[in-house]
Amino acid sequence: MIRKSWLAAGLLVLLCVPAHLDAQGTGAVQGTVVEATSRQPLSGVQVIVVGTTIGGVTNDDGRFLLLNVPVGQRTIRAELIGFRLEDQPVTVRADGTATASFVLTQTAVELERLQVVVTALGIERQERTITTSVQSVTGDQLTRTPESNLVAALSGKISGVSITNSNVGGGSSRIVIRGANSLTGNNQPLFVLDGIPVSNATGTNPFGSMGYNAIDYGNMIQDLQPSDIESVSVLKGPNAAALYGSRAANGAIIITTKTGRRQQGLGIGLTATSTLSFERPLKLPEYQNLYGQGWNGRYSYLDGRGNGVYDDYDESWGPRLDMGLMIPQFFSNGQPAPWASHPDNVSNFFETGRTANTSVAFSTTTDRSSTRLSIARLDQDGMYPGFAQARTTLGLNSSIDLADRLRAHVSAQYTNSDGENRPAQGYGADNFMWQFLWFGRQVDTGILKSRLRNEDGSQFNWNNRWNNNPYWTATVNENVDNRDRIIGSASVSYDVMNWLTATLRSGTDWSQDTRRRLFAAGTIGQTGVDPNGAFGESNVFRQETNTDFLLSTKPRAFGDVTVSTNFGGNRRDNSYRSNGVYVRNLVVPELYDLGNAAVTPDLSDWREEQRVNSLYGSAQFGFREFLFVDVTGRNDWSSTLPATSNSYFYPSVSAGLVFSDLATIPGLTYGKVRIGWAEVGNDADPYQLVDPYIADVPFGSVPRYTASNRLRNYNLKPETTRSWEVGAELRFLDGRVAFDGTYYNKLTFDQILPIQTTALTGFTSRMLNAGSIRNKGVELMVNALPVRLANGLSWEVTLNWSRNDNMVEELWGDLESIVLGTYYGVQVVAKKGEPYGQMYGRKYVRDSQGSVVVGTNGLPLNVATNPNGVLGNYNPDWNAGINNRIRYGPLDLSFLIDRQSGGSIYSLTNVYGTRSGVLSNTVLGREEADANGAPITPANGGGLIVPGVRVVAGDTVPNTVRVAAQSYHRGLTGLHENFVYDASFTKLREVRLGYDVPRSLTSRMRMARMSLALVGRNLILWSDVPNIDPETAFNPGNVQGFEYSQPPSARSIGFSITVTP
Amino acid sequence: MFRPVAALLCAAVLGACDDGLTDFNVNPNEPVNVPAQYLFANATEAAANRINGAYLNMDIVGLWVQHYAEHLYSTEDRYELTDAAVAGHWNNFYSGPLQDLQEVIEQGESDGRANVVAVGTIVKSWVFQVVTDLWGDVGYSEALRGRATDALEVNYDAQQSIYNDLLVQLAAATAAIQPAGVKITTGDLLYNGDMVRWQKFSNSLRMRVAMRLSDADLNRARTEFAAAVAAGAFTSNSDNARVQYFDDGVNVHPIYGYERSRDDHAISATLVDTLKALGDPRLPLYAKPNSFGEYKGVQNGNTDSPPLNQVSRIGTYFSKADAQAVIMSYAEVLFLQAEAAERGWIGGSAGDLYRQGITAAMSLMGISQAAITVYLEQDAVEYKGGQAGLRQIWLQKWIALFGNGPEAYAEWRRTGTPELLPGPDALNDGRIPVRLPYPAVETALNKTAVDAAVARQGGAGFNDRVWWHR
Repeated sequence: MIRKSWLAAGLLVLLCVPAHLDAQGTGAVQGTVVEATSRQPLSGVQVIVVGTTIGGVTNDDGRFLLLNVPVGQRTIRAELIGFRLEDQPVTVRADGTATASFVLTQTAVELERLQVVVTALGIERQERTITTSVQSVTGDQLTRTPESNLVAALSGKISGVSITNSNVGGGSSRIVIRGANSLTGNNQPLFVLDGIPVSNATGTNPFGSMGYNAIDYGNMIQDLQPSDIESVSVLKGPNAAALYGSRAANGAIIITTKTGRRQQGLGIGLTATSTLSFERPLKLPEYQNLYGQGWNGRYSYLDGRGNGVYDDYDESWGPRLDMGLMIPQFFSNGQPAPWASHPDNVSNFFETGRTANTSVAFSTTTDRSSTRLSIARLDQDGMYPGFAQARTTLGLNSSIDLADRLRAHVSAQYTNSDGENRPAQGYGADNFMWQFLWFGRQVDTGILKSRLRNEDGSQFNWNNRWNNNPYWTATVNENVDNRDRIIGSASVSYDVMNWLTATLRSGTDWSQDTRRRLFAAGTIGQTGVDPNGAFGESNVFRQETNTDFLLSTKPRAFGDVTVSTNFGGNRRDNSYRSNGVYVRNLVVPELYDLGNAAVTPDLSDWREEQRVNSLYGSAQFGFREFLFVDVTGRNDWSSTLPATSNSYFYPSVSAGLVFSDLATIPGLTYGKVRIGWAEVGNDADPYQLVDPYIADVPFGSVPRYTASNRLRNYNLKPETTRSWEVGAELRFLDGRVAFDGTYYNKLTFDQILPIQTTALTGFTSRMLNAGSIRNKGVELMVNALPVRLANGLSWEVTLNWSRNDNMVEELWGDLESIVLGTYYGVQVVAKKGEPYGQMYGRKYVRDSQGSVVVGTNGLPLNVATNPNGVLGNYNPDWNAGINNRIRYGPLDLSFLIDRQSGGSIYSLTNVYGTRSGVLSNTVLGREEADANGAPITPANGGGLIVPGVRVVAGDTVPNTVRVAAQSYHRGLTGLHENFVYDASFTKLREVRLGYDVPRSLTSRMRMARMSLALVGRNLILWSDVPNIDPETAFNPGNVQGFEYSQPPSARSIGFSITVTP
Repeated sequence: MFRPVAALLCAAVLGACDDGLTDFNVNPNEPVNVPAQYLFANATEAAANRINGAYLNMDIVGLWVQHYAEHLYSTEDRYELTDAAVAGHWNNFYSGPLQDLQEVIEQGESDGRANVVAVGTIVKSWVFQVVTDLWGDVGYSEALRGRATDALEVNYDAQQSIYNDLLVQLAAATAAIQPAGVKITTGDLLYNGDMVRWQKFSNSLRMRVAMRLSDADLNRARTEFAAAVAAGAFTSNSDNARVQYFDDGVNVHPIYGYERSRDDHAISATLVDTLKALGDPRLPLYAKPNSFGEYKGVQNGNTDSPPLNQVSRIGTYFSKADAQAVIMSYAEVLFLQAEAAERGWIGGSAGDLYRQGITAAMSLMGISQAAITVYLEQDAVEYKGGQAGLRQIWLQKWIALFGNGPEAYAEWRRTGTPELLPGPDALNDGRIPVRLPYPAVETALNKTAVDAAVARQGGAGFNDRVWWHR
């Protein structure tokens, strides 16, 4: 209470201060800005009073007016991207109007850094006044190469963020800033679009669980059209949480869309951009082509169900290919057919994907209003058969000066996105990559493509016990999804007094998803014996509405001190509803309608509501233009906590010192140090206080309930993140080299999480405030312009590098670890005293010398008594991105190289591809075959000797037992250590070669501007992991480090054209 | 000072900041109170599903007792278990049916419904016997108290004291039942509120519990068994405790549900060969013919499976959608009585009870009396008496317990009949495990109690016998 009272007193004083300062006297500054050669007025120029947060933008006539400028000698600065920055001294007198006129010269090139950064609450601030770590990218940097997912487009461009792309068409990208804060909860940052928090939820998977036949429906921020984005600011620390609430404890990503006002040139503007790109798999597994389907070198097809010779086995341990054998096969109607390899049978399955993205934007500016309207359409025909997705976006952004002191702003984004036949992932017969793992290597997929059904309508396939025809799962078992989404906001601002503005704003993010998935009659694995087919449909509705009031005071000077303040209140309402139906069997085959259900459908339904009320305030103090201090505070009242503890307060304070203003340091153009501290409270998920009972499907007509396995807790209290950071910004050599570095250290404690308990309590977990995680790390950004020649040639380099060290410091009492997830026998855990995300699993038995111990059968020991230990940790050691941009005249070449170093991945493509004998490594031990095509047996000198030792009568002796390849490779399954790899990779992430068509040509075509570009993404991968791209994720949550035959990532190449008539 | 200011602002702009907030947190999806009968229905089915279903039954102990055999992917059949599977069964027994049954009993106690307490106690005793038979010493007297206490560790009870208490509980439940009293009907999947049959089931279970002590606590076994017989056990197949599944696509028998998506379990060659040797008319019900019209089992614990077309799968009687999960049958009661008579614990003719047991088991499956008579008249089936007679009773019980892997596995451990040989590729030093290990999650979360229990039992691995297994 004492702390709260102190803050309240402070806020009240702050609210009063400006009125008091007003009496000290201020004046105005007005003027014009023109372009140096044409002497035409320049609109959209940022004009600021240096050392304060006072600033404005020139209108179409190039005019600006700055009010409330503290009296005295002031420096006015005009800046516009693409022009050399200019400063002018003026003397401001009380109630007087000083004049400053600028002539800006176009620069050939400059560092790609915004001098004006959009910070929390959409407040634009001069870079020098910012006291916490913020990094921005321009919209242009996001759209240089075609990437429709905004998160994926940030890869390599921001230090301190870790981005994991699933690399599946339309799939999700996970982003974590400065490491995981939460043991079991959400670790992704808050996304804010033009001041409105928006959802980046990942799709729930109504059919199939994660890792088992599930579909990745992507993260919702990909609904935004990148070309509508003016800039993205990443607020890395938790200091922004006072203004955006608890969810910004994981950092915040502030997206600002383009407005009419920012357009240069005439009153009406039009820009059209079109990009067309083509995708092919970046990397496919290396398959072997020596042996076909079967077992012990034998195979003959009769019905694919076990009535032939091993014709139901979906593994490639059969006879040697290409040695002239004639064997009945699935297509040969019982007749012997050439037993021949088809090395391209998998790569031929893939098609050339095609993505077209076209956007058109109109903008209009009058003296009282500005409007931008954009329309964009993305169409993708994926590189997997049947897969397609489309996205249509409409954006409207409009500001109107309703009266002298009254302004209104309206923005609306509408997105419709739909997908067809997204690929299923993980272990299951619906995943085509899984099918190519459990595969007969001789199978000609062209035959499967040409013939989906037998004459009786049943599925035509090479194996009828375990697998589906890959074209069947890709095209007959349709899945479709569709989302409508509207993000809208409206605000009204009124200048109550010339120093005080009141704003009322309300915004909402509403979406509705419909997902449908069909399983045709005769599909194996999912509905095996349900004779007529099955289907499911699910609907998800989400809405978040935020209503804010905000009182802002303009910067006021009090002697050497400038003060500006904000005080506001927020109400946030979240609602979520999902319902689903699954029909396991139909009356009439393949008529997918509820009325055609042959059995009682499974129904599901879920609703969630949450409300948080908040009051918040912030103040910035500037001292003589070189020292800046920010103070924030917020109190939340959350519906999800008990009434006794649902109110919680959290403060932050940060400071920046521009020391280069105090002393001249040779070579140093600019130098600033920052220091900050913040604390953030956070609430629980809804309904964690009272124990519920869970309904099961009625048994016949008898309703059934069971007690939840998780005990809720009526005594929960808020969890807390506490963080501090120090940083420095340095610029050398006339600003040609810039450096920004930050060290941070944060602790999240009293986490609200389900702690596993012994089931003997009757419950397997209990909600508690428990556990703490510490993250500390370093972020570096270097930006340099090594070459800038008079002839216009320039070369700019930007490097982002970051490293995060994570430690689970406490769990609960003596509890040693929390299992975050177990997939295929490998556990991902949070273990006390170890970094978050450790992976545990079975390791080799080794002797004291480290040699692998084999059993009497000559195979590595692989049983329950093998040691279970740390296999790795999925978090990388460091991430880096280097972007190069070379410009010469109309040519503009840029390329981005992205690297993840360290981190582990458990690859099930390698596990099961080794077990099933399809991968090239399984040739080891069966290099030679006999006349029947069977591998030479160990008894006849075939097979292999596993390097290792055997224990004979208590002594270890070198292993000399020869084993068959089939026994060896199959016996490695479950030895997790053998299939864990260093996930480090380097990617040539983006390449773009742009060409600005000369004005002489464009003017003849009556166009203001036209540019063309060749673009490419994910062009080259360097990695030591066999058979897969290690940058992958089958799950957007906290369980990472797994790969299971996800579809291959795409290499895309294309071109784009931008036209401004 | 802050609060009044905040409240003022909240009231002015937002309503009051914490007014009505708790209303938002009322769970609209799930009830916080549920009548005992619906918990009871779920607990009964969930327990039957686990004990008689696809995973514990068909995929672990039913393999070890050589009723089923894995085809192609033999892991459990070679005595390798994943910890996740063990943990799944452990966690689900306690946090599933056992916790729900505890709440059924507590509801019955708090509103004075003696019949509700009794049926909850009977089903809970059935499940707890299965649990202690699988794991030995387990949490019992201190278990299922999560709502009442914050304690995160739960001590174990010795198997002997669990068995003693199960006998007390079952006797008390029988005595407490008031056939005319308030009872569960909807929600009683076994007897639909027929309290006399519940008394019979309670007494039959008491016989099963008592008989298990034949080697470990002979006096108690004999006394309790005789008392249970006197109290009245099953008298016909219509008394059988069983869950009837439906051919509705949803509430299907768990083995049918499993085979919808996977087809990798066959009948064990041990079982097929035994049935064939005695010309058993149940063979076509236990097994499906292979593609050549023959009945051929798969040898357990074999990494090199025969081609699928040569293999007999589980018979339709046991794997159809509307099959039954038989928790306890009249035949089992007769075999228990036959053994007790042979041992001299009760009066009556062991041979008669033995033949009645076979008759009950076969007629339940619809075998004609004529076929039963032919079967009974064979030399090999004719009752021999003495130790040989006991082995005949046990062999017939092993056959009759098909579909109830956990009970068959317990009785095989107690009686050593039939003699089972581990498969050629068996792990675990070529020995059939005689218990399930505690799951790693339990060792991690309840270490002190687990360590004490392991020390008391002198080990708790695959090859460490439980207390009653002498």
